[in-house]
Amino acid sequence: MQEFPLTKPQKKLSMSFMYVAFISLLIGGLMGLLQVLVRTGKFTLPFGIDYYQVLTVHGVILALVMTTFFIIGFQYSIMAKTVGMTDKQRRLAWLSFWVMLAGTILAAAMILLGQGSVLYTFYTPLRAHPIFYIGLTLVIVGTWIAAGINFRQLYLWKKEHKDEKSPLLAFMVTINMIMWCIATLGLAASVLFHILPWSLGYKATINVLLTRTLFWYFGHPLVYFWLLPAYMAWYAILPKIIGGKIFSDGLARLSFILFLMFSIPVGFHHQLTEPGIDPLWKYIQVTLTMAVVVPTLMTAFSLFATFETTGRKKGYTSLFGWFKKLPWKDARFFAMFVGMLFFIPGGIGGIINASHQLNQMVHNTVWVTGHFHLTVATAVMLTFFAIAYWLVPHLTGRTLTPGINRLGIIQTITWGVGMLIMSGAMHIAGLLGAPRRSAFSMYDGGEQVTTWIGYQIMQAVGGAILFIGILLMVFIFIRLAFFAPKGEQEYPIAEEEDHAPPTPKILENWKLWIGLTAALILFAYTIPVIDIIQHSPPGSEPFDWPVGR
Amino acid sequence: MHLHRYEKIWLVFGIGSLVLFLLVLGFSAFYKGMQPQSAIEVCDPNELERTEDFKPENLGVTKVDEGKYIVNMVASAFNYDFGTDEDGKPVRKIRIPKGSQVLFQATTKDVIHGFQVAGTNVNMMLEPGFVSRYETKLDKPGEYTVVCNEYCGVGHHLMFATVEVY
Amino acid sequence: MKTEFETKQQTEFKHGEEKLPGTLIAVLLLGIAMVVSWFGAYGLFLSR
Repeated sequence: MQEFPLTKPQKKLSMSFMYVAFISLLIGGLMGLLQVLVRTGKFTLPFGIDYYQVLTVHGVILALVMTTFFIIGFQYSIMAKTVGMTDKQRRLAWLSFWVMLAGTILAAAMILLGQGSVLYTFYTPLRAHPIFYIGLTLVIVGTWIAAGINFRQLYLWKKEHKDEKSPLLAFMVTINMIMWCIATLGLAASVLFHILPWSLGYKATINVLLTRTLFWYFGHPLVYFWLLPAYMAWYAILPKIIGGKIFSDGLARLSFILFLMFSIPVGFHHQLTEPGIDPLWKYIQVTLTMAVVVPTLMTAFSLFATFETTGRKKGYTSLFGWFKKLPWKDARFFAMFVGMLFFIPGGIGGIINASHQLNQMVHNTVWVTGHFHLTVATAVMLTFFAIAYWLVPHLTGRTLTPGINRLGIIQTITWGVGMLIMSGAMHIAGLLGAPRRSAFSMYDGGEQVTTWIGYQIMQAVGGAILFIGILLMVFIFIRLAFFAPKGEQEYPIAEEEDHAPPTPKILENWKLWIGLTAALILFAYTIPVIDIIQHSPPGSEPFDWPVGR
Repeated sequence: MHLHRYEKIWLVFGIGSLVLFLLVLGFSAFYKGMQPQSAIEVCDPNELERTEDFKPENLGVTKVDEGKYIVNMVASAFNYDFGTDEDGKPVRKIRIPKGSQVLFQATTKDVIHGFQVAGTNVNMMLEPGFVSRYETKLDKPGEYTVVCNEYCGVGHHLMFATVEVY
Repeated sequence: MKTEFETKQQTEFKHGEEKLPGTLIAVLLLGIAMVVSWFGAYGLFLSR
């Protein structure tokens, strides 16, 4: 397989995204710590800072900024490595970086000024300062530039390699960015045509349900936008690290195509307890949600099979002998593995959340917070850390030393323990009815509330351990970025078996898959959205005071 | 594309389970009527006093029949309005005899709120312009905290009430 | 020993069926966890 060595300027480009990602991690983590402390009831925020301002910072900077910067930077490195990057593309890529950074700074400034305490979902008719929305839009625009560059990179490579299949990782990046572009169209429609003119006062009222629906049209694929880069590492990088080969190139591609098709027409499963959407359409989208589980089932099989074939090739013939022989002392593997492990309860919880009427039991309770701290904040985050252990030194021309590797193992254990405590407590408290997104409150002082408080103290213990994990990770990042010994750290890209069966050509028929994706979206959304617009109540005027503006 | 025999077994098992979940959900939703709330009824959030369900004198608990109750409530930042008691004080706690069939009807005057009777399946989003309805049987005696579970502003966590089942 | 192993591996690939009993058991355990948890949640829903 042909690989392009990353040039110095290309490395600098990807590294810039990493700096923003890890600074965001530190800030966001600190906010998380403050939140769990406030929720014990034994700590109040200094200087009259509002809990929900802290919560908005936490959500925006981790869910939107940290993830997006890491993903775009990582994907640039993948594309440059597997299909190459021209100087022109690199210069444009810098534009994407600066646009995203400018957007981040604008949104952050508004949040810090107390003009944007609307949380990262910014549900109308709560109104933030218009600049908050403009900032978030710019972050998205930056990612569109990145998408355009990534598409062009693959296109140019394909022109040179007419009858070859695209490199697996480049294929995966392309799928992720196609999905992202289709999904962000909904967000752009909501912000540009509805929220922004309304927040500026050009439009007196807004259709609340429509903006919510458009948000969740974007919001669910957003979680897959986080997850797919982790899956890229699981499918196409992990085998190399454990000394094996890709289990099946074709199946890996098929699962990504299924993600593209089924991750978008499912947003209603975030809106199951809403009054304005027909239950039949909710159920239809619940059905489509179950379909998006299938590629994850396939992934589970592929991963175990990768472990088992690798181990058996090394000569371990017993039923689970291959499992013992995995490189447990390699942080690049161990962090990823623990991430996968947490994805099991995370995925199962997700199926429960999406199960139509079962959602009533958990909707907007802290169970949901516990759920996505297993998925995005552990499965995805630990995989990103695992990637950072080799990517950062590769980009800075340094090496992952045994000492830092050990720290990486400790970091992973810290994260796992902290999350087990915090997320576990959140799941239980949620089933007992404790709400999410809420500052400390004794409410009516009832017996139920008393039981929640005990779990909130547990969450603070877990959260504090997680914060230590974040400090450790930032320390590791700084070591790898500035102080680790100079050298050449490998960029691990797994290969197929020499005699692997050929990958069907149809998997690269972009028109077919994008066409099917569009058809599914139109099927799932056309009628309900027309309903929402036709049967809409009087629009809502903006509300500034509830968010302290 | 080759699919390993074991992977076929796994996918049949996995997809079969998902289909089973959907059948159970579909059966209980469309045959037994256990749908998540979806009243799809619009109202004018600025004119709620003029609607039958949400005019001030109809807020709170109303007994409609033996063992059948309706609870009407209007949410606003940061309060649940269940009407007033005989002394003209706002109702903070509503009482329902156990085993009753209760229809909760609620909406909001301003921003989005949540309405959850903790520990039960009563969990609804309240959105301006829409009536939220959910009917349930309250079987277990005890005090249940009602919490706003959708962020509605700085006082979000101070929005609560109590439902007592006796 | 090593060469012998490699030959064996190649014949396995000819049939396109690697030996994966551990994988099958692992994923089935995962599937059982999924079904049990889901019906647990459904039971809790019904009991409320």
